[in-house]
Formats: sequence, C-alpha cells, structure tokens
Amino acid sequence: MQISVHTPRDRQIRFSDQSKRSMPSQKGEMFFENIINATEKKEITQKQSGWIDSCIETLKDKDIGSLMGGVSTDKPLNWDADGTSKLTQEQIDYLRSTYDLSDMSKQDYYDLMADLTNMNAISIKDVISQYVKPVVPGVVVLSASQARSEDFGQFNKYGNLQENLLQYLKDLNYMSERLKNSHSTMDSSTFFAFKDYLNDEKSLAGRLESIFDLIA
Amino acid sequence: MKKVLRMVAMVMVMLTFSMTAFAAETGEVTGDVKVERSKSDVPQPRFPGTASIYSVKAYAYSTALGGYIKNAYTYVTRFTGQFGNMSLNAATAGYFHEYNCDKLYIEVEIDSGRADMYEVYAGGTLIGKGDFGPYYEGFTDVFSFLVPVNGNEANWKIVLYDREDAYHGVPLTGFISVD
Repeated sequence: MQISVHTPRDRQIRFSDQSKRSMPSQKGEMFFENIINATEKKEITQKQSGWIDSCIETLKDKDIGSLMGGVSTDKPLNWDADGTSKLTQEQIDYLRSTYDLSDMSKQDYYDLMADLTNMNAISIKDVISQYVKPVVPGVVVLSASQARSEDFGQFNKYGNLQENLLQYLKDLNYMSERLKNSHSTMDSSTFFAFKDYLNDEKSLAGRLESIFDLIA
Repeated sequence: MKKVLRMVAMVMVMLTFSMTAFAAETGEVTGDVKVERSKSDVPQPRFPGTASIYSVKAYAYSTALGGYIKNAYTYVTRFTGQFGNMSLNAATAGYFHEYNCDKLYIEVEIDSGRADMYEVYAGGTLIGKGDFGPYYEGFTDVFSFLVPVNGNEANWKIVLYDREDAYHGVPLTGFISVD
C-alpha cells in the first residue's frame, strides 16, 4: 500500500505504508513539515494573519452589537487597542467588583471586552477574532471518537466564563490530538493551516484565561 | 568492486535501521517481539454502501470579512441515510443577509461506512480528495469546508469509494436553503 500527500502547488509525495497507520503520524508530520518549501509556509502564514486586519477595517464603522449576539454597544470598544498594557491593581479591583465571572450574560461579556480594550489589556484582534473566524483553505477531515459539543467554542455566550473557557481549551487540545493522529490524508497546506489555526485559538484562550484568573 | 559492495552493505544497514526505528515508534511488531493489539488497531472490513450523515452544522461566511460569523449557526442532526437537506435558521440567515455573506462554512459529520477514499464537492466543483486510513471502531469523520451560495441555495457532496469493491462511488449529498 502507498500513501500520498498533496503539497502546495500540487506536488504529491508517495511512499510505502510501513507503519500500517495512515499519515501524518507525529514522525511523518515532522518529515513533511521539513520538506514543505519555507517560502510556501510563509505565504500561508501571511495569508492567515492578514485576514483579521481587513476584517477589523470592515467592521470598524459598523454597529457590531448584533455580531456579538444582540448586545448594546453603549460602552465602546477601543479599536486601536493592541493589548500591550498590564492591568494595574486599581483596574483589577474595578473589574472584580463589576463582573461576576461565574455568572455572565452576553452583555456582561461584551462590556468586559470593552473595558479590557480600553485598558489596553487585550487587543481589538483578540475581541473580533472571537466572533469572526477564518477558514483554512481546502477540506479539513478529522476523525473523532466523540462528537464536538454543539456549542463548540461559544465560551463567551453566558454562564461560568472560566469553566466555559477551560472546556474550550480541552476541546482544542482534543482536536490537535486528532489532527496529529489523523486517520485521513488531506492537502498539506490545509493540514498546516489548520494546525496553525488551532494554535492561534489556544494562544487566544490562554491570554484570556490569564486575565480572567486575575479578576475572578 | 569491493568498494561498491561495501557501499551497498552500508545502505542496506541504514535502511534496516531507519525502518526498524520508524516501526518501533508506531507500535509495529518487529522480529520476535509479540505485541498484543487492541481491537481498535485492527482495520475493519469496508462497507461504503452503509455510509450515512450524522449531522450538518452551517455558519454564514463573508468573503468581505474573511471569515464566518461564529455567533449563530444551524445544526441539524438525525438525518436518515445519505441526504442532508436543510434550511438555515432565522439567526444564521439573519447574519447571512446583514453581512452580505456569499458562502456557508459547514461541518459535516459522517459515518464513512469504512470507505478508503473520499472526494468533496462544493457547488458542483471538486474541492478536495484524499484517503481514509484504516477504519477504527467508534470513530466518525468530520469534514469542514466552504460552500458557495447561489440564488439562496448551497449544495455539497461527499463521494466515498472503496478500492477493493468495484470502486463504486457512494454519494452523500446535502442541499441548504438560505431564506
């Protein structure tokens, strides 16, 4: 039996299935990561990071309350926030007294995001990328022994924020594991783009988690 | 001549070493080592004719935004067999029109019927194909991809093949109405 993997620009690689497992396995993943032309990987990464800037430009002048689930945007977001500041003790005390992270509504969550952008503790990209998600090129195929929750990734809707976020991180880790041990082949540019997407999501969830830990 | 033979021998040794190392890492049985396999390690017979759709989830996607709107989706489950026809709910359709969306981002969960190859079509165009690995008991496959919307309609198709059984394609098809 042979396994084929499609690389960007329609290159195809074939080799014997020595392992009796479909690729990419962990070792195979490293192998293919090395052989993909560095320029091609750079192109994929640039495309992925560029989408959010144009998305923010498009949304900047709109009332995005509906995008966030029909909330009031009386408290404005800071569209220039780059998330480079650390919360002061005074800000932490204010946030603690204002929000109950164990019982949040959609409106509470939006207001919290607005406060955090105005304190520059998170970037506007961190906020918008929770509501608009990029799609990797091609077709992603994942085998799973458990269904993803219907509400996958909707940690910011209502309820206990920290618990929801923790569940989301668990789901992301499960998906990473399934991708690593994928039973199916897919276009290699799709494979690596999806891997990067999962890493970006984990990174965002991690940033939010560390802030929520401070103000819980 | 001796030099050539020595080089051939070296290559053989290197090949043996690399194959053994690879096999060991992935749990392959080598030499006299006996490894008991669990049931899930045994590839099962393939029956693509029994393939079916479990669920379809659809989000509104805007090319202008460069992404799909996560806040609302339409999730339909318990399809009977190989057809996954559905309509967007009011929330998803609302976003679709409000943000001038032109595509749907969908996640289709299927029982592949132990097929060993797939093709995916969106709006009649082949957008991806690949191989399934060995079938493991208890696993389903989730396909995620974009489908264009034309005239408030979107359609997709996943065709499953079994190389060892006459190579007939079994289509799972879906139609999504955007009103």
